[in-house]
Amino acid sequence: MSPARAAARALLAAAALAAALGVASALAPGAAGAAGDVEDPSCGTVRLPLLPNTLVYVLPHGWIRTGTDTLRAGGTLWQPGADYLIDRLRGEIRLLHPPAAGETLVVSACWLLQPPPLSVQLVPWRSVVPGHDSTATDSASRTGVPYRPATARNPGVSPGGSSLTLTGNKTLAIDFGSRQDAALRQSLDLAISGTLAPGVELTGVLSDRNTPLTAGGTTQDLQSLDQVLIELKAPHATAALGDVPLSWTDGEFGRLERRLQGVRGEWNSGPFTAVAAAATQQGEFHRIQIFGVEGSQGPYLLTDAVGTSGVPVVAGSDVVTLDGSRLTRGEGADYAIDYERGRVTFTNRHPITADSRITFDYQIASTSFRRNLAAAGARWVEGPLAVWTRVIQEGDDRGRPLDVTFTAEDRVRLALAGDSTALAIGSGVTPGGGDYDTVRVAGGLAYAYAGPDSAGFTVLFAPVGVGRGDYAESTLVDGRSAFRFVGQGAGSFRVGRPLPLPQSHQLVTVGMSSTRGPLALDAEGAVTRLDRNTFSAFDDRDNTGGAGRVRLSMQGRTGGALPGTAGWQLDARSVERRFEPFTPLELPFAEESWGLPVGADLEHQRRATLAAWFRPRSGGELRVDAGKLATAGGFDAWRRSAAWTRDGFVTTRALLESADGSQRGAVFGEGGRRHARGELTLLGRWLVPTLRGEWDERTSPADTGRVGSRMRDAAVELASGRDVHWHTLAGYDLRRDAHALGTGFEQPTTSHAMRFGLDSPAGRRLSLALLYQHRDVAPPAAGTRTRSDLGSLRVRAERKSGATGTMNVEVTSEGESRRVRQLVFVGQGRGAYDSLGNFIGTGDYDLAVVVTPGFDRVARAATSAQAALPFGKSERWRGSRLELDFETDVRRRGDLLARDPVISPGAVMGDPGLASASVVQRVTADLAPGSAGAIFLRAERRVTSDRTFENFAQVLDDRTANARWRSHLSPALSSEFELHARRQAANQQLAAGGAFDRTLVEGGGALQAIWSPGARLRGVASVEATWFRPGGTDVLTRVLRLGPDLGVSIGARGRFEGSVRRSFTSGPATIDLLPTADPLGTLRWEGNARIDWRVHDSTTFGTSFTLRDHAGRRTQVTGRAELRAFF
Amino acid sequence: MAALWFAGVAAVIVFATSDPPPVTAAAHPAADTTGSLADSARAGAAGAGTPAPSDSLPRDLPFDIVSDAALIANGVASGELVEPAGLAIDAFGRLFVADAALHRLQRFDARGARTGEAGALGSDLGQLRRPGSVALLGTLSVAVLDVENRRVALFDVNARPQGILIDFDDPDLRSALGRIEPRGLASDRGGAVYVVDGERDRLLVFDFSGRYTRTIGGFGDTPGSFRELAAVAASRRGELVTVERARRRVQRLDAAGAPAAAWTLPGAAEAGAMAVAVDDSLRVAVASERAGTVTLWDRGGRPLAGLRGLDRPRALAFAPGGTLVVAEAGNGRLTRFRIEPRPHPER
Repeated sequence: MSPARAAARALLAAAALAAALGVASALAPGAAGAAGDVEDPSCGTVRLPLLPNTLVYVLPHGWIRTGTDTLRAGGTLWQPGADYLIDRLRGEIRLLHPPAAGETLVVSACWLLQPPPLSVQLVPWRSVVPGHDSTATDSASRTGVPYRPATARNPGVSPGGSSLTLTGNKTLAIDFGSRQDAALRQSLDLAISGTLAPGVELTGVLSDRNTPLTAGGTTQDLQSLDQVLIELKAPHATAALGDVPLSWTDGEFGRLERRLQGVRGEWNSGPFTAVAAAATQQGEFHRIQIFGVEGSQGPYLLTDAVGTSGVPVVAGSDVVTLDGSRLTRGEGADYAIDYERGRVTFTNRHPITADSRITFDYQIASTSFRRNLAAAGARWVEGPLAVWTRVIQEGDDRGRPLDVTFTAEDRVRLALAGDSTALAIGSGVTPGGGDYDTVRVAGGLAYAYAGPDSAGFTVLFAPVGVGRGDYAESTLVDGRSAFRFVGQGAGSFRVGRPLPLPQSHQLVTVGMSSTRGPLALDAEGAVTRLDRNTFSAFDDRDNTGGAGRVRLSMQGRTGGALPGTAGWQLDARSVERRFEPFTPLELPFAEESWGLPVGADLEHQRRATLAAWFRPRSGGELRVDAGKLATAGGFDAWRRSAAWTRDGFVTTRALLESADGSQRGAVFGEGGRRHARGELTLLGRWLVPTLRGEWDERTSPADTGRVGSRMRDAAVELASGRDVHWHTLAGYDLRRDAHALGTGFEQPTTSHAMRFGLDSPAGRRLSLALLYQHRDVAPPAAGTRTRSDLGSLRVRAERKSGATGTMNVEVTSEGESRRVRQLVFVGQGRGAYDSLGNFIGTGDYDLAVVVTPGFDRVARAATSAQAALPFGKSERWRGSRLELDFETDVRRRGDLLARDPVISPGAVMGDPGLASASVVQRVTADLAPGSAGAIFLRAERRVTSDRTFENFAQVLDDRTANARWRSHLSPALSSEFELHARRQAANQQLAAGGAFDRTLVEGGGALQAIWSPGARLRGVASVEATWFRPGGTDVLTRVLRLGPDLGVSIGARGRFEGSVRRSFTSGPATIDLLPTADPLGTLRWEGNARIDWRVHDSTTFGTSFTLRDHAGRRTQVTGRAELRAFF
Repeated sequence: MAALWFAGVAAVIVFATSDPPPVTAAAHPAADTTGSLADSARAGAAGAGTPAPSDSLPRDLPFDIVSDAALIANGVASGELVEPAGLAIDAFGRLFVADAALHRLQRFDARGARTGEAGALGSDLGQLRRPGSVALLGTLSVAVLDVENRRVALFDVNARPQGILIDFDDPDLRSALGRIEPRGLASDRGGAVYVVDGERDRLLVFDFSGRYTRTIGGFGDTPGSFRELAAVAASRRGELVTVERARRRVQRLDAAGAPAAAWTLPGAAEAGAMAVAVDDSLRVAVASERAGTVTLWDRGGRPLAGLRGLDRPRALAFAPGGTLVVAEAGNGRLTRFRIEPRPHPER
């Protein structure tokens, strides 16, 4: 027998034996099965249902054997260290990410069958009591040794400590290159959430971007972290750290509404509530009241205390009211605000007119001193009695000025200045080059402007008030004011540098309210202390002021002939001249209601008001009130009013208001107001007509003549009722305004306003929302007629086939600064600009953009329209679609034309009335994406024009067309072929200067072959051929660009990606559309390589290099190394 | 001449759009619950790289998606929310919703009360044109894909404009990457921004300061490549989940960009938008606008739950409590859903 046959026989015999044993074991379950089913009694499986926001789970066994724990959830194996941590001693599992609530965690593990106790107690030895029976069961108690369990807590019942999730990322990156120094960039983001203890929830986030690192690798302090926010919630307390709001509206004198960066805590226990906050104040509170500009929605400039515009405003600190109503921030709401430049623009919801009364309350970003605020308050409510108190302290840290450095001389001047900003002026003259020279005027020296950098002194001027200075503003040069000497005490400016005054402000207020039956009492007293210059002890005697108020009211039912409810209210208040609250006490423009001029001091006053009201059972409310006012400025007035309101099928509203006052010492001292308003509405099911009329006459005291205004307004409005699905609204408003002149009112201005709105019912295939307002103002005599349009249109249509169309149009009016592009020839190669103002690095000109004061009214229309048609039902064509996009943005000086919302590219390029405009037209087709050869087509045109400069205009026209074919030759092999064509044109014109015209024509194609046999390898071969040609010439620049891309996995954790391109160029070098400082040049080699390595499941390291080699330049190499850790 | 040109173009299109390569049938994800890369790679070697699609999800799914609260019941009717196109939720549960019809970023608290907004139709700073995806940038910033302005706008968590993070028409970026057609946006906890480039079917990665760092994938069928890439989401540890429209394929990539798993969504390819979200447990939710469905998958591609009958779900995001918030573009609805285990009848 050959060895092979013997081996085969042996194998067969072994197989037969094995089969026999298998059959035998299968037929004898009692024996073999039992032997196979022997299980380790110390191992098992535990199923734990995962709960939301619960990270700690306790197993029924402790003493888990190392390496035996296996966790699965949802069929997925969890990784120790990445998904969970286990305390083997106590059998406690802590998840490292929030669980998917509802899933079951299956834990397989082995443990000690008879585990020792987790803790033992050292019991001191004591001698056995004589006669002790050792068989007794309560020997412990007999010996006096207290019983204690082996473990202090039951880990299955008591909470396992805090249950917090910490997630986030730390990124460290180093950028380097052949033309740059190495730069370190870092970021840190943390989020923590969970429970600290039962009922105590913690949520916190922290974000840090590019904070300079110390030598130890940590950020310098918490202040240097960009933003941090922590919220802690407990059953009776809350606390927040970071950017927190503080809003106190109890009472009147201690009201405070601020955004703070600091800490805020609140604690309540039964009837007692306490709030405390400590923060760094972000700015100084400021309020301005203005009238609107007819037909201009903005921008309106916010100013600081001395009238400087363009000041940065603390984000979120703004409160804007229009005609007494508080507006909502948001460009889709009532107004938008540019915090950086302090500019407010109203949306088209509220048309702004010359009679719009606008109030801006805001905080100016503090640039003088670090300002701190500490506030504490408490409120106790017991039944009908409530008592509250507030203490607020706000002060500048005079030892830590922010943007200024005080010299010893400055400190002396501040100490002597008292509370006067006019006296707090430091030295403002620096010799050795500047704009000013000294001249001798009337025997004294004065400074005279000689031109930018043309003289021997740099001189600063400080505003000191009219008639207190020697200089006045003369002209604007390069956007900066030039000053001229106007004589001693004849100007508003003085030579010098204004020194900021650090101030300190405190307020204490106590209030109470109580009700007893129909009677209610509300009283409050407050004291403030405001030191406007903490450097100086002068002028400190007038720092303290007080205020108090009391309100008594009663209400009850009436019967007899007038059934209903009625009541009365008596208010009395006194506010000293020196009282300085943190928030203004009076509503904006409230002074006009008493007959005071706008801006007069109504805050400091003595006032008593009696009001009574009656609400008949049949509906409505009648309210009458009368009041007496005496202001600290010497104005005494009486005011009476009656108002009626009733809602129902017939809705009626009426108001009669009258005030008479007089100003002591004024030549024309009479002031007052006569105001009447009425409204009638019929709430029909189909139609809701409204009639409205108003008459308002205001006069105020003055020394130079009679001052006042009169307004008469009549309006009619027709709206659809509740049974009409399409909500429609149409209205007409006629208004006549006049100003007091002599003995009457003359020069009336007539304005017509029309309004139309349409809203489609919801849930239809076609939805439409339209709001349009048109206002026409005819001024007196030969004044310019003003027209303003505000509107928005939203249309959306959808077919069952999936075709959709949407269109949005917004029309509004804005103001725009006038700008001039000034070019100064400075010599050949000595400037940075060309003759048209293009930055070219080395040129013959310098550019100055001069912004002249004042705004042009600009009408704006913006449109966004899109239509999409999906088609294709077969596997090959399903997902195909055709899309049309149309986007415009038009700003026209004066009034809009009807075509502007759908303006053509030709109009954008050629219409000189447009301040700026842009239009985008695009057609896209995606054909047969499911086939082996998907086709994509796109044609696009973008045209923009910019004529915002008075003397410069630029038009750009960019047309592109692309066609792409993607084929799938096999699952591993694909290809892409693309053709493109592009035509760009630019035109620049400078008034009284040159012009620039350039057209570039480009075409070409690209072919890519992609080979990817699997996830670990991807290779691409690419060839691109492009030709360029300046318009009007036949000189071609041909570029052939080819090279490979390669992506390959390195082991299980790494990946390499690289690409190389070699360009071959024939013909002249390519050029940019507009002259630039860094022309493209001819690229020869381009390559980049990147390696990413997963250091750990949650940590990656990546490094990349990029190389560019242009003809005639040094080869440029840049790189980056980055470490990212997630936790 | 024009007729000849059209006939030529039609002929080219008919020739070019021939039948696709055969797709090798593979087990449905429901049967192959792991859906691991190894399986995908095996399938890819034979065919399309992922299991074949099915028309519907299996019936015996372990979870239900249950409506928890209607945050915005009908935004179209109230004019409050007309066409939500992007959604992000911060650590405090606050919602940031991009409205493509109103051209705004809206901010809601965890209960759905509106607390602020930003943006208007336009191209200036702070203005938007058909905003799309929204992503939290780190923990205290919000990035909005400003689609028609071709840029990524940055806002703080109070919806205040902070600037432009990425300008896709920036000459340097265009020179390095060619034309970019942004379709989707995601960001991880470190603030790295992932942009779906529909022009080249790739993911562009930018760091927290808006600087381009790398490209992931490209046109292709195998894992790690994309076809009609539609949406992306990032998990807490930087893993990425992508959805492709053409093959309805979902891919999970690890933090280094290497593919880790892939599976196929039920149904057929369509032209509507798709959205994807991933939670901290790596559960993946995918919304299909045209089909009106939301499907939930585990990290390996096992289907967990499904939801039908939605009115054009355009955006979705997981909230900190493990709930799922879905924004429907058809009726401007914003709904919070709970994910609950389905009760077994025998229990």
